Amino acid sequence: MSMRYGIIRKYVQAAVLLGFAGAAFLGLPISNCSIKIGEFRVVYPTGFLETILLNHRINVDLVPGMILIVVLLVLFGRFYCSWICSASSANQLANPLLQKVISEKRFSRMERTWKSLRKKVCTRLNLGYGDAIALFIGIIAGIVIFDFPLLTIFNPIGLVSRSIIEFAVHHRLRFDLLLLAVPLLISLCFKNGWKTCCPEGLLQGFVARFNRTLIPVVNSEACNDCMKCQKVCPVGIPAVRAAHETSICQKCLECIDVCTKQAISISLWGQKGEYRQGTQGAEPLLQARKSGPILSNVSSNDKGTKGGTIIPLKRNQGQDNQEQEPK
Amino acid sequence: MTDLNKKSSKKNQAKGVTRRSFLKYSLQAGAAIGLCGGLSLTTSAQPHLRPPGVAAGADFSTNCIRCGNCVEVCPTKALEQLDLSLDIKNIGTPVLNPERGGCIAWKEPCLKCVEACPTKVLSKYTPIEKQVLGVAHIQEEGCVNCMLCFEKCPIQGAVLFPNPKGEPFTRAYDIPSDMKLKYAKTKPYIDTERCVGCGLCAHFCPVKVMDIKPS
Repeated sequence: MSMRYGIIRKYVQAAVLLGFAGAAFLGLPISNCSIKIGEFRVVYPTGFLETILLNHRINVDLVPGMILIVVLLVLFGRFYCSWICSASSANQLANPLLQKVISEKRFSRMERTWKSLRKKVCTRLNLGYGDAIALFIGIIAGIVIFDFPLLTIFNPIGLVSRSIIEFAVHHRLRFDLLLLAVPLLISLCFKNGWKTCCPEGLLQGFVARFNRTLIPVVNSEACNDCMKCQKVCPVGIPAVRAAHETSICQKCLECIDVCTKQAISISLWGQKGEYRQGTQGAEPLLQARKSGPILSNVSSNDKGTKGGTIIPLKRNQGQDNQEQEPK
Repeated sequence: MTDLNKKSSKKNQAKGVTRRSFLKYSLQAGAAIGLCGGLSLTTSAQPHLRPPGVAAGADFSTNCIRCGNCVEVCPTKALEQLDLSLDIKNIGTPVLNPERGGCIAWKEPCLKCVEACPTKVLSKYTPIEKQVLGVAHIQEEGCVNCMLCFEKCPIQGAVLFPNPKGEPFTRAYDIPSDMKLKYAKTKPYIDTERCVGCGLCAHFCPVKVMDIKPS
């Protein structure tokens, strides 16, 4: 692909972050958690939900903004998570910065230890989407029972957004950035990291499942099953399943960038069944992958009984093919 | 029976929820509830100096969504969001910090924070004249009689200066100059009835002998 979506996304993320900081610096009521233009207000859904839970009434002023969010979610899916969310942007933009501050070697070593630690914890706990929903329901119940505003305090969006405001207004960082350790530790336990269990993302996902636009479509003739798209995907879904997982696909378009065969293209409108273009021959493989342990909680013991074994096999083949190609 | 069992297990597999995973889920939900409960027990509520316009009966810990819009729009940059503290419930809610600035709402029509607030914690229906954020206090030791607090106070008569010959002075230029000397024994004091706790005096105090106690 000649267009590099990854680079465009990086610039958009940086621009949005700088925009929020600039708004705070200029004294405009615009932050990642709440935007006010004229009399129109949009606030982040977790904050809206929490005030309803704690006060037992709906703040009518905020309803038009929520309707706008719902419309955007149905129209474009969960694009917010990978293009706008301050926490996600800060995380992604911090990596190259860290690489410069501490040497690249040390950074990659740290990254490797973190990944191996995560692998260890993950294989033991094996938490997925279901666990994220269970935690979310628990948090909701806890908020209602104890009147404790857990979501707005520990939400990474709020934590990062507050620090951006504080930095722009008072030129200092806040100590409560340390609370980011909580989502970081939680992300250790989940197969695909924090993005599986982010409460804001989950909430958006409940609406985004009705989204049918901007779906990656795989050309089966060009695809060599290298599964790079799954590796690079922040939520760990292969491109062939993107149409089924509109509630978690974040529209980051990384899979299009990473595909060496240029087999993935973006379709403006896709039905639920239409996830693969090309010949019928690919069907059996597809079926195998469909039942594979992508989101379901299959413990490592069950691997043999399900389609799970097919994926690593195929992946190995794909890698072999790639290695042979240059010769 | 076996057929039924098979069927049910198949159904469960299709849904992705087995009895075991259901137990796991409920444990996780319970842990989340426990986390909320534990944190709400460890939190120790403290009084804070809040921005003006707080609606009657509003509680920041539950009503505020911690968006920070009030902090952004404050013209004197007096507001900040409460940082990491033992008052866990109020982390992220706006507080007025006299070290950073004071509230000018009694001096000129401002209330920008109230306009910016997306929730109903800060409400424009609370008239500014009836509001009291806190009470200022001057430590007499260390005060250098610079009279800045007299100049900055938006309310005449809130900062007073003792007058041996009658009513206390309310204006700085009425005070005889020998009483205003740096080491003079007479020091200004606060009329706790009139003070609104805007924090302007404490912000501009050059020797930082003033503090505001939230009401």
